[in-house]
Parts: sequence; C-alpha cells; structure tokens
Amino acid sequence: MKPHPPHWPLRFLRWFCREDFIDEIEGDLVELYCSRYELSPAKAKRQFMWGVIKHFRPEFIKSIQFQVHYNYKAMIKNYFKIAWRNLVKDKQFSILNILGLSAGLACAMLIFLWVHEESSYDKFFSNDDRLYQLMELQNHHGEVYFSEESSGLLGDAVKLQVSGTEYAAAVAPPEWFSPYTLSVKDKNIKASGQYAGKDYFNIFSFNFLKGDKDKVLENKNSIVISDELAGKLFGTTENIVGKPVRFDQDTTFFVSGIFKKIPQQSSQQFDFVLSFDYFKSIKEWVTRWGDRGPRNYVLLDKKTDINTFNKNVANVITFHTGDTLRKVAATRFSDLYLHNNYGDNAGGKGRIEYVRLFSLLAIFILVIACINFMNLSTAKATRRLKEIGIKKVVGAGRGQLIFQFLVESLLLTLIATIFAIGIAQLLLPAFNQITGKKIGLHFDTTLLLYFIAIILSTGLLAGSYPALYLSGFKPLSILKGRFNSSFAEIVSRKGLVVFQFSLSTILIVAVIIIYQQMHFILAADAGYNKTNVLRVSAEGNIRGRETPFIAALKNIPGVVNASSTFHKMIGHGYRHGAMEWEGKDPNSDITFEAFEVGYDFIETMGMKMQEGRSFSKSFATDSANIVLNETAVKVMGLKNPVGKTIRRFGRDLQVIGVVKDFHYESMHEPIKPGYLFLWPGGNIIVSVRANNQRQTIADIERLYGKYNPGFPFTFDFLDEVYQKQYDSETRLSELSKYFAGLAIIISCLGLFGLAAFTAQKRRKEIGVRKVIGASVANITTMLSKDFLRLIFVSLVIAFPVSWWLMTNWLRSFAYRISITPSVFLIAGISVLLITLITISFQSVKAALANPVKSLRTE
Amino acid sequence: MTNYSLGEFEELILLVVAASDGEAYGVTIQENLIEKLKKNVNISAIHVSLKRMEDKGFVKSRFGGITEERGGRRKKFYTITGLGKRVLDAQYELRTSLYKQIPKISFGR
Repeated sequence: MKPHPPHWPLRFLRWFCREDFIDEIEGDLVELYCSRYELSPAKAKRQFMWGVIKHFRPEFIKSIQFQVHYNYKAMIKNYFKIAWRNLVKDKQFSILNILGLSAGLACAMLIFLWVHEESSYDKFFSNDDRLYQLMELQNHHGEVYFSEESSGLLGDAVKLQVSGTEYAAAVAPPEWFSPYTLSVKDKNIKASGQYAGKDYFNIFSFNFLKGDKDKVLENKNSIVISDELAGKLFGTTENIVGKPVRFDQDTTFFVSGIFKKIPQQSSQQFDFVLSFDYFKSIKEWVTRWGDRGPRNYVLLDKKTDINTFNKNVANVITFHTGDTLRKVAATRFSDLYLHNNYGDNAGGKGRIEYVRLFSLLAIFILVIACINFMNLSTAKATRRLKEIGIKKVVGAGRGQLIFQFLVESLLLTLIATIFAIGIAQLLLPAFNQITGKKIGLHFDTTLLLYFIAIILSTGLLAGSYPALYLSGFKPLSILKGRFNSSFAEIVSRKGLVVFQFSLSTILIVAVIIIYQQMHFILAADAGYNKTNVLRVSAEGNIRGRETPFIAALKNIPGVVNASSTFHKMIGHGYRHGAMEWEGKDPNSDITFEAFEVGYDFIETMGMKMQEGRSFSKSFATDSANIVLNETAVKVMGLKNPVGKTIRRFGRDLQVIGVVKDFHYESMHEPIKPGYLFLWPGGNIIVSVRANNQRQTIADIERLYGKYNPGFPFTFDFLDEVYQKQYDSETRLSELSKYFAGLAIIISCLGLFGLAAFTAQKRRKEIGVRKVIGASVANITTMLSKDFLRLIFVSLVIAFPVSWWLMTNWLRSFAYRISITPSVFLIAGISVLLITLITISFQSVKAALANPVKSLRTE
Repeated sequence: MTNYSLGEFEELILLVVAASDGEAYGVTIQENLIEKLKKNVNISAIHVSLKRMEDKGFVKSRFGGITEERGGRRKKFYTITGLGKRVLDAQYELRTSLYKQIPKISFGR
C-alpha cells in the first residue's frame, strides 16, 4: 500500500501553488516522501511539511484575482429569478411573510425614529463637547445625590477662580415662572421667559439674528426675544432693537437682541431672556450662597480637560462658605436630557429608561417577525427539496445554497421594507400624537445607514436559519423521497413558536397591568377634589389684593368657593426642617412640606378634616395657628394633636386641626409630612359648578380683566395638571397597547401559516381518517391540539417572567396595585382564544375538505 | 554577459541537466547533486533555480506521463537549450583560462 502524504500540508500546497507548477512540485515532493517513508515515516512527514513551507514563496503563489468565478453574475441573476418565482408561486405564504415582516419593520422604524429623536436632544450646540452644567452635591436625609440646584453666585465665582473656564452663567429657568405678560402698545402676549447671566448666549450657541451676543444681557433693562415673539409683538423682526417692551404692565425693558425660535430638540424652551443681574436686584436670595435654586452653566476652553476642571471646581463653594459638604462637579450638558433623574423627573429614572425599554420592544417585535419568516420558510422547505437535491447533485456547494437563501430572504426583507416605510409614514401622525413629538420621516445619511443596517440584519437573521437548515440536506435521501422531518427540526420549530408566544403574552400581561395601574392612579382619591377646580395665577394688580379679588369671585353665581395658595399643589414646593415640639426626638430631622394658604382653602379643595377645624375668619388668632396632615401627626408621634404647640422658626404655633392626607406629589412618591398655615397670596384656586362652566369662566375672566387690564387671562384645571404628571406613563400605556397588539397579530400570522402548512401536509391522512369515519370535530381537535399545547407552554413560561418584570415596574410607585391572578387569567384566555380562532380557521377548512379530492391522486 | 549570469548553484544544476540528456527532473537532479556534493540539497532550492533558468532561457521543459508513485502528478523533464550550452561553455572557458594562469610553483601545505 502506498503511503499517503500528510493531509493538511498537501491541502495548503494545493491552495497556494500556481497551476503550472503544482505538477512538478507536488509530484517531486510526493515522490521524495514515498522513498523516505520506507526509512522513517515520521521524518518523511516532517520533511514533506518542511518542503511545502519552503515552496511557499512568491514565485509559486497564485495571483489573487485569479479566483473570481466566471459565472458569478449569471448565478446572482438566477438567484433572484428563483426567489421571485418562489414568491409568486405560493402567494399565501409570501403575503403572510411580507405582511408580518413589514408590520414588524414599520414598528421598529417608528421606535427607531423616536429613539433617534430622543438621543439627539441638546446635541446641536456647536460647542457641545465643552458645554457643562455645574451640579452641587446634596445631602437629603442621608441620601447623597447631585442636583442642578445651586447658588446664583456659583457661575461667576467659577469663572473668576477656576482656570479653563471660558464662559459661565447662572440661569433662573423658565419652569419657575408662570408665563409673563409682555406688551407693546396695546398688544398683550403671554410668553415664557428666563433670567440668564450675560455669557448665556456664548455658552449656548442658539441661532442669533440681531444684536451682539457678547453684550445683549449686559444691561439690567435688556430683553432678548425670539423671532417668533418679535413677530407677535412687533409684527416684524426688523429695526426693533432698542425698542421698549412693557413687562407685566409695570417694568419696561429694551430689546437688545433677537434669537431664532428655540429648536424643538432643545430641552430649554423659552421665548425671551432677561438679565440675571436684574433678577438678583429683585430677588435678594439669589445673591446668597446659602440659598439654592439657580442652574449654572460653563463653557470650558478648548485646552481644558474635564477631569482637571472637576478637581479644581469641587471646592469652590467650600471656599466661600466654609461648608465642606458642598461639593461641585461639572456634568456634560447634553447627557442630562436622557440621564437626568431629578427635578421634574424625580419619580422616574430619566428618559434613558424609556429609550432602553422601547428599543428592547422594537427588537422583540422584530425578532417575532423574523421567527415567522424562519418558521414559514423551514416549513415550506419540504416543497423545495427537489430543487435543493438537484442543485447539490449538479455541483452546488453548501456555501452557494446558503448564499441563495440569504439572497431570497434579503429580497423579501427589501419588499417588506418598502411596505414598512409606507406603513410608518401612515402611522406617523398618530404616533406623534401619542408620544407628543413632531417626528418626520426625513432621510438623511445617518438615518439611511441605520435603516440599511436594520434591513440587512433582519434579512440575515430571518434568512440564516432556513439557509443553514435547508442547505444541509443530503441530496441522496431527498431525491429518493425518504425525507422525514428530523426530531431537532420539529423541536426548533416548536421552540420558535413558544418563544414568539411567550413574548406576546408577556406584552399582553404588561399592557393589562400598566392599564390597571394608570387607572388606579388617575381614578385614585387624591384626598381633594381635582375636578372642576381652576388655578388662576395672580399677577399684576391682583398681587397684594387677593382678598377683595377672592371675595368678588365668590359672588359669581357659578363659583362654589375660592381661596389662594403659594403651593403649586401638583409637585413639591418649599420644604424645611427645624420644627420643634414637645416630645420630639432630638436626633430626628423631619422635613415638612409647607402650604401657605388663604382662608377657605381646605373647603375649596374639598379636603376632609380628620379632627379639629380648619382656618376660619371668626377666629382672629388663626394666623398663629397651624393645620397638620395625617402623616405629619404620625411621624411626629403626637397623640391628641389638636391644641399642641409647635415651634416654627422661633415662633409658637398652635395646632387647630388635622387634615386627611392628600397627594400633592405623583403617586411615585409616598405622602410626606406637611402642614398648612395662613398666608394670603399666590395662585388663586377656584372651585366651580360642573354645569354652565363656560359662562362661569367668562365671568371670572371679566372680573380678572377689571382688576388687571392688559393682562391676558390664563388658567388651568387641576385635574389636567394632575394628569400631566403621568404623561410618560400614559404614553407608555398607550404605546404598549399597540405594540402588544402588533406582537400578537404578527405571531398569529405565523401560526396561521404554520397551521395551513400542517393541514396541507396531512391532507392524505385527513382524507383517510374521514373515509374511515372521523367527524369534522374529531379532525379539528386533532389538528388544533398540537398548537394549543405549544401555547400552554408559552403561557407557563410567560407568566412568571411577566410577573417579575411588572413587579419591578410597579416598585417605582409608592402607591400601586397588587398583581392579581385575574390578570394572568385574562391574558391567558385572550391569547388562547386568539390562537384558537387562528388555528381553527385552517383546521376546519382542512376537516371540511372532500376526502375524494385528496385521495384521488397518488 | 550580465543578462546571462549564472550562479554557482545554477551552474551545478545546469551541468546535471546537460549531463542527464533530457531525462532530468527535480528528484533525479537532487539525487545527483547529493551524491556529488556529499551534502543535503533542498528540493525547493532546485525548483527555484530551475524556474529562474527557464525564465532566462537556459533550459526548457516538457511534461512526462502520469505515474502512480507521484500521487497522480506528471514529471517535468528539463533539457538544456543552445543558449544554456553556450553560457556553460563560456563559463568553462573562463575558468580554464584563469586556471592556466596559475604559476607552476609548489604550494605549501
């Protein structure tokens, strides 16, 4: 027997060696090997290998371009042709496939657009990489976190003291102020404004139209307005620099500059800017280190490294106040929009959570759609067995077959994408309404690249399994017709169905629980009357004359009651500690929410008294009295609180009553201790009768106009504001409803196809059964049973997973529903019902078919 | 004659090819050289030299029939060309003429 030279070196030689030398080289090497083999096989092998390696040199290596297939183009053409013929041949499958895939893709596209929009917030500033916000370390009941609220002096101090600061500015943000009234001649416009240090427009590169942005905020009497506001006030943006604008009908500012309307992708939204120096002159507290509130922004110069800067900036406040706990750190401004989790977002976890959640959802739905494709393609494979067999016999390699199937799935994805873009375009207005965005489908290069990436990955993901699976068949067994579905194939197909339906069920459970929780929050008794209560901001002449105004309000027929409070009622306001009472634990530091209210406040808001009485004009001493909320009494550990004395800021106050707990913050937060005391002023609260409200509001407006000529009348209903705190939850609830619906629809499309396929495959069996005497019901059950079993398995998987997920979600609420078994019951039954309808359509059709038709031909 | 340069190893191979009279191929050339030089010669060096000399036109080749012992590969036989012979002659002449110039004195050990 002739010895065979080592396999791998020989393969290597054949791979690299030029055709015209292979005979000589391989021949010589093999001949030598054979003669040496008789002496020592091991040595011969070694020498053979060495010989091959020594021949690996430029003279003998093939040139690279030599390998191109000469029929490459023709094959690609053929792939497309076959793919197209297959699509057209089996229209039901193709439509199911394309429908499912395009629904999934459309949904993924919408979510992608939204994520794209969310992550592009605040990124448009030209010096984004150097733009930082100064944050101050806060210690709140041992909970340490960075807050954007700091002293109004910080910005200027940092600019002076810390090297590497190019610009710095303090800002009193627009959220602090209800819209101001700006007037030019007899035009009165409500607009939202903020106060900012003079470097503001150097830091934030908003588009500037008129004026010198270095100087626009230098003077205390300057006002910088947007072009939109300029249009409303002056009707033009030309020649208005230097013109006066009346502010709240009492102060006059002069226009020093005009900026272009703030783009939608800015988290700061305002119509005009006044100088922070002016704010300092009217609000003395912002000139103190001890009082926090204003935001501070810095622009680093180009050479400064942020880490060095942070080291230098950390102790600026300590330097001024001696308080070693007050540390400062700079955070990249454009990161804050997504990652900010304090201030108005205190209850949530920042928008990034929602961005992640929805990205995950998009992927889920896309995966479900891809699974459809995989399932239908592999199921359909049996019909293409001959094609594959012949191709293999003729000489197609596995790689070529894989390539062919990938081309097919890419073609299908491409068609689905075209549909998906159409669907997305159609749904975009509705989607925008739910998300509160103004997203358009504009194709720029990045978006296009992302879309291409989505298409490619979807096509490859969907096509990979069928491609690998189909190309692996043995040609001999296919052509002999001895092909049986392998165990692994059935398991994996069933596994995919289970996976799909588990995801869908999880989504359905989530939707039910989110809906229940939202219903719970919105319908929950807030402890006061939200409906038919108006909030009117007291400005201009009403300020300081609230008492007569409220008295006049009460005379309007439709008004039930009226009062005033400085508290905004939705969200938290002024909080402080340092209260003293008898029996107080000296170590405890309880902070109290302060509600400064007018007479009749409790009555107007419809709050209930637990014990004692509310403030009343008949008791002259009520300005030295206090009403606690239930939680305060509990936390303070008071028994029989009425009549007790509490010392607040060095003044003794007597408790005259306890009001039942009411929710002033969102349900994410537990109710905290609070108290009410008399302090007239602030916003006017009016409760009105439910009927004839339009007339009542018109009456209030007339009264308002009498007091405040030249001020536009604005108000809001408390329940609307109340609902607004749950905007993101409401959006989540709305969107998840649609997504869950989509997921179940796509899954059912897949199941529909699979059921059709099974019924067709078992046509003969059904025919025989019928001939022997099986009833329609028998056959329907037989066909449905297998699928229902799969659905049961998915339910078993989905329930614990969804329970765990939703428990986590609910944990962010201080007040929440408990998850009841009925949720799972409803979800389970609805999934079962939907699938049953889907399957039985096919099963009944198969069972009703005339057995003669299926048995006639063999 | 820079274009017709002939290295030492090439010259040896060319001599073997010329001496074998058209029946020389890789393995026989190697056997011959090992026998004459008494040292191991790698087959790849021979293949490279043969390729270079074929490019220079000193040798030409033809394929033989397929034989079993070579794993189904053909032998590549080399013959010397006229040019090759002339180069070899020139080299030989140069060497002998230089050799003859050596004075006839005895060389010490």
